Amino acid sequence: MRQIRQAYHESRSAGSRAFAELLSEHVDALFGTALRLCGGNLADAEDLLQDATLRAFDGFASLRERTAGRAWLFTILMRTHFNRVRASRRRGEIVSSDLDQAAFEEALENWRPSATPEDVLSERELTERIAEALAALDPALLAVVHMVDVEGFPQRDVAKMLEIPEGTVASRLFRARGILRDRLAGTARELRLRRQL
Amino acid sequence: MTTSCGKARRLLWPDAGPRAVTGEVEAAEQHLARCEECRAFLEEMRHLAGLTHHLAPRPQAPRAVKDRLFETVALAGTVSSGLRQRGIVRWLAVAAVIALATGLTLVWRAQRATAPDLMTVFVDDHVRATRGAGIASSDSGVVVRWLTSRLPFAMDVPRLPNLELRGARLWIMDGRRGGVVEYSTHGRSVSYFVVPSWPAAGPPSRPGDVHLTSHEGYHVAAWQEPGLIHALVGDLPEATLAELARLCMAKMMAFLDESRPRPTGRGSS
Repeated sequence: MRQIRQAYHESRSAGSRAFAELLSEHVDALFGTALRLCGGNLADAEDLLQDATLRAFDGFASLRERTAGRAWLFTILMRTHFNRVRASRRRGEIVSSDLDQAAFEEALENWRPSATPEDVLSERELTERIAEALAALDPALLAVVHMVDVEGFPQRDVAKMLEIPEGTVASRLFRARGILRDRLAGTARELRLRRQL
Repeated sequence: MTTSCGKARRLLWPDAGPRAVTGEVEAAEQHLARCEECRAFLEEMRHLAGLTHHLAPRPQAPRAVKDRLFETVALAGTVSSGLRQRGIVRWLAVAAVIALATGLTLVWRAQRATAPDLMTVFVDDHVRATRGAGIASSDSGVVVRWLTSRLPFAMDVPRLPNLELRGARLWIMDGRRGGVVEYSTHGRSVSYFVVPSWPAAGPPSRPGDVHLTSHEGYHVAAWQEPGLIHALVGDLPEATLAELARLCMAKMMAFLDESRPRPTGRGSS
């Protein structure tokens, strides 16, 4: 009995250490994501991160492959966040920017190329505008663009994380990038006009 | 087969991962080869993605947030998952902090001069260590760097005979922050504490003295230097622990000679 207890404590200890190691590798990115999802509110972000971390700690034994740890942690963070949002707002899964296939194709068709803003905006200005544009996005669009474009997860993984079809990930990305582009282009236009005056 | 720009863009949407080469996709690729606007579209999508990836701010978690997070994880190891899922862990954490603060205040007021109270704290912490969070590494350089960045004093990670270095963690109580290095030997664990001293810890021992005590089957070998208490805790035989403590003390002295400016008037020989 003593041996079983010792083995149990040792395995738990090893698990705790492995979990802490995994968490410490990704804690900054998880915090950044939580902060963005919580609209920049530090207390809410910490609360979300604590909640998600405890859930992850509970389920750590189910993580078979350590290499999948990053996606696994982010999945828990995203689902914890959206469960909270759903619980507080009791709103549906579908957001206004979700398009069916035909509508998505039509939106894609209507896209017109625009000049890149880098020739007008400095890197600092671009960073500020991107941060502002991200902060202003609908939470569903923000989640997708953050996970794909900022964190670099494959769209297929993000679809699984958020439990939405891949096509919806694509259409939300398209919409989010469109908003981002318009915002950057608007700022660039303003700057060009100011310089001409 | 004719393909509209919208369909071609949907089918060739960038970064969608591997896609099956169907007739539709082949037609979309042929469309792309002759449609400059579609190529520009795909290029712009990639460009916007790259811009966001490289320029979106990535805030780092403040150290206080990290500390609280890892303390929560350490605490979680001592509470059943059922309770945690009901969100009771926070209340327990608050209750534990209040109980701890109350206990320490009482100890402080009583000004008890005997050492066992702190020794009990060490033993309890050693037992909790099996569920604690910190750094797991057998590289003493890595562990030293980890501790150095988190402690207000220099701490050595001595190599001890027959003990395997497992890692380190923080020890935090009533605003005091100490370090704990963890070792193991034949399935048994030994914790090496270096914590700031306080009145309840008892009278300062003479330099070179090792104070031995036991609590619930665990032995503690403790010694002091000005401002700091050192202790080895484990269920190894008391004599073994005392021997390790003396070795540890000798290494500590050597470490102090190398790394810390020795305070004047200090009797550490």
